[in-house]
Amino acid sequence: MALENPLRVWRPTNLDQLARLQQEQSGRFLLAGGTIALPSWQTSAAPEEVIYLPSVSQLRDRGSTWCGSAVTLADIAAEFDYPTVLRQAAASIASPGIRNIATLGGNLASSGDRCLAAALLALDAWVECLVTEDATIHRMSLESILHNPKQTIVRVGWTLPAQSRSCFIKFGVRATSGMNLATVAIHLYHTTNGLDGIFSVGATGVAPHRLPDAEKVWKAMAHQPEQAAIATGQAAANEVQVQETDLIPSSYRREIVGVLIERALRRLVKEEQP
Amino acid sequence: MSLQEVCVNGMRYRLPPSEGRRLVDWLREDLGLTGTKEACGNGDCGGCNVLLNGGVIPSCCVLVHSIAGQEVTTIEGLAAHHAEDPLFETFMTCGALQCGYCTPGMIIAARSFLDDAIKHSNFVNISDVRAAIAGNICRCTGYVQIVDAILKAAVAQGLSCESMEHYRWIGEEAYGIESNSKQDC
Repeated sequence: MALENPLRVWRPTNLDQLARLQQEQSGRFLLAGGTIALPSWQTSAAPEEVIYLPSVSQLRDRGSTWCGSAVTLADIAAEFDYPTVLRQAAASIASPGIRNIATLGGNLASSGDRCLAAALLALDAWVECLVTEDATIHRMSLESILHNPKQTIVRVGWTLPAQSRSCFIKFGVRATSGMNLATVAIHLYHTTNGLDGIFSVGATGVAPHRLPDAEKVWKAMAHQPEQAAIATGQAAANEVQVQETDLIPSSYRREIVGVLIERALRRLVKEEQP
Repeated sequence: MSLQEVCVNGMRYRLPPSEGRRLVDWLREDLGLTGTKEACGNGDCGGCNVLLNGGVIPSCCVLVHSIAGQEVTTIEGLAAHHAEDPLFETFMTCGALQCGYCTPGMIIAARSFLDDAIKHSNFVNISDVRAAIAGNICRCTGYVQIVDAILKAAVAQGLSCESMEHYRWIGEEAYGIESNSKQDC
């Protein structure tokens, strides 16, 4: 069925125009890549007016430690300056064609698995959003966006400690465009006290979240990496928040998270060794 | 090019008056380029793939007005130069199609992949080919002949391929290789 709505597509070229369009009428739909929105408009009514975000040049910009919200997943995956965990997460989403149009902001604002959110949580990322009333930028935590996605994300950034290592592992029923059962993101970095880590999970049926108990276990045992990987995996399996469904029992998802965390830690520790 | 136009297969077209027009509908219904197929309407099957500035995209997930000023190539655009594109020949010789519905999308995805490989690495392997067509669904062939066809086209375009000597061409010269060396099939 051909789609004839939306009736009007606004294409602002800068943040001032974007803020003005949002001020004029608050109900205008913010369209990023469109890979989730357009298919949904086939079965439910399309909005009458949309604002096409990738036309705003500032949203397409990127630097070595930050990324505009309209940067595509393919560009993130190909950006050598970006942390491994973020590149791997971007490369794991959907298929090459979707990755060429889907955007960072669209992934974070979606109600799906939000693989990039799990990766960015592991990087302790910050988010800058547009305040439409005065067209200013407001910085906030990534967690606040995940619980209130009705924000206009301008860019996302992170501070990467020296000698940090990270990785992202996805477990799903298919490698491409399939249902995910769990994703884990790990970021290890050196401090004066040793090797610290940030762990996060996604695709467990609830919003992506960090695993503070697992982080504590790792911190306490990191000098014995083999035992630490096992204990951290167990701690992660115990504390992860999961949603039970008819298809996937919560115990299964917990077990998967524990195994993936352990596996990711072993991989990163192996990379550490000369 | 003006922001009121889109270039399709080298020709400039004015944007349609309806701003809610999807690219796939515009190509098929307004421009008559019916080589681009629609199946799932979700971007999952790859049937509606086209090239946007050289990169593969599902045209069912894109509004025409969002790609103003950019360049689209459909299967008709590639077919106009089929003599120079080995994919058309290898898809036929490898038997990489049955009903043919997925074939335009497959060739578009393969073309984007090979162009990328020529630009960046000059090297392809079977895993890369499978990843490149991971967003294309074929219910007839089982993909083996399609992967064959893309690898053969890669070789024809001068790309080097990993473990080609272990790879079994379907119905081709290397058919007699012992099964225990066919790890990639």
